[in-house]
Amino acid sequence: MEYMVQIDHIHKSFGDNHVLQGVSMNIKKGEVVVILGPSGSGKTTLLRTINFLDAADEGSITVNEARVDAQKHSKAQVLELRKKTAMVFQNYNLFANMTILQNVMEGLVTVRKFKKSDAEKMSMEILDKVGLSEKYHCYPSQLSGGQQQRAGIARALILDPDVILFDEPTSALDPELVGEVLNTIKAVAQTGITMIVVTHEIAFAKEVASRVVFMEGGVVVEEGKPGEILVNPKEPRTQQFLSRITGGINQKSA
Amino acid sequence: MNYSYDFASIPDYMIKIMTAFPVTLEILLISLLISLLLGAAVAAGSLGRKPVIVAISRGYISFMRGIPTLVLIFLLYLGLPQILQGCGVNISSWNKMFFIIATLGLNTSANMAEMMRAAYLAVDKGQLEAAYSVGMKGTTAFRRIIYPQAFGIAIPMLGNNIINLFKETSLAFTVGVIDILGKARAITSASYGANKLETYIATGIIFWIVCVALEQGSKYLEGVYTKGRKQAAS
Repeated sequence: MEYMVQIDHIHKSFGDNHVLQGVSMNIKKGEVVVILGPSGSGKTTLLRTINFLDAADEGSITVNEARVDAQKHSKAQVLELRKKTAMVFQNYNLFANMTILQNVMEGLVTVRKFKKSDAEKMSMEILDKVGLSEKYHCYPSQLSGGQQQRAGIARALILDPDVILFDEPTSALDPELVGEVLNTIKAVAQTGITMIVVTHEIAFAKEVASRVVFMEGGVVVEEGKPGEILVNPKEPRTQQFLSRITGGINQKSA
Repeated sequence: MNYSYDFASIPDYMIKIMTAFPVTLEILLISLLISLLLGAAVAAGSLGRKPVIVAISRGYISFMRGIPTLVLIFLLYLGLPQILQGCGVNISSWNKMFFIIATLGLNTSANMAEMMRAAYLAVDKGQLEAAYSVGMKGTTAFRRIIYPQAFGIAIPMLGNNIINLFKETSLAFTVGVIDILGKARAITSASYGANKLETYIATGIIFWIVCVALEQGSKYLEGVYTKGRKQAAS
């Protein structure tokens, strides 16, 4: 199969709210897909259906040949899918009862059955890469938001997933901490791993994305290279969204 | 009548009463175990997705918390044999310990269930999603992530529940079990009530000392258990 991630006609409703109305997307290995859109457009939900944290109602997800059909699947298939993906959360969601090192090791030890000593060594290496060498034995509550998020990224990276899902990774951060996390994500992108990123950071999207997807109302409105979508969007809805976002930035700086 | 108090004799009474401590301890430990197991089942039921089981669990908790322990003792000790006799089963020869342990186990299980439910709900569930995202199964996530945090949150309440349970073991005397209080009553009866005051002061002191020890133990455990991540629980 030439695609790393195949999202096929995904529908998802929460009660009467039809959040995803048939979203399809094929993503090649090494692509960095940035999903943009106003709040309520379904972009976070789409991301969460990819690893079945929210189970889709219709459609199917395939990650590196692990296929899960929304209407007919087993728990084992979902587990298999999750083992091929990793996720970085808006609120970090680090395990509060574990140190940073234990957080990163946890998946290796309990899911992948690595020896503890090996897992520890690998985790330390990853933590060094995201700049947390000094913080191995700190608990999440003792770290800043930026440090916690970098630990969250390390926890995702260590599993060597086929695709990493970033769910608004900088939205909960203090403005001065956004940069360090974005830099870490950029470094990850340069390793050639497949990434799907939901974010509001337009500048980041421009720099890192190989493809930008604009969603609104539960459908993909427009997608293409960042140079096209972010500079010369064809769809009026995309234009409105971008002018609102950049307008907001201008107002702030004025 | 000549009242003469001999407070210097209190330590002697304490020693005599303490000979019944193993009985109290047995009641405490077995009913504690029952209440934890039953409480866990009821808590799981009340947190579950099946409406019928949720309703049954909530009803059980409501009833057990609403009924005085003494009433429940009488129900089991006096009422249950009557019903069972009607069914042709005779339980009047059963050990009296059974009734007091069953009562305290049932009664306390409701408090334990509420404690566990609250502690479970207090753990931030984003961590559960993170556990799933790294490929953990639900049971593994509960064992590794949710339970350890819920336990830390529950420790102070667990201490309270154990202290309450310990004090309620004194109701054992109502069915004729010779626990600490039963022993104290036996001592006063043997001297025709002449040393009532000293005996009951001695009994009170024993209960008090054990409760203080339990309280300190609970605080110590909480301190050790949540060390380094105290803020995480808040």
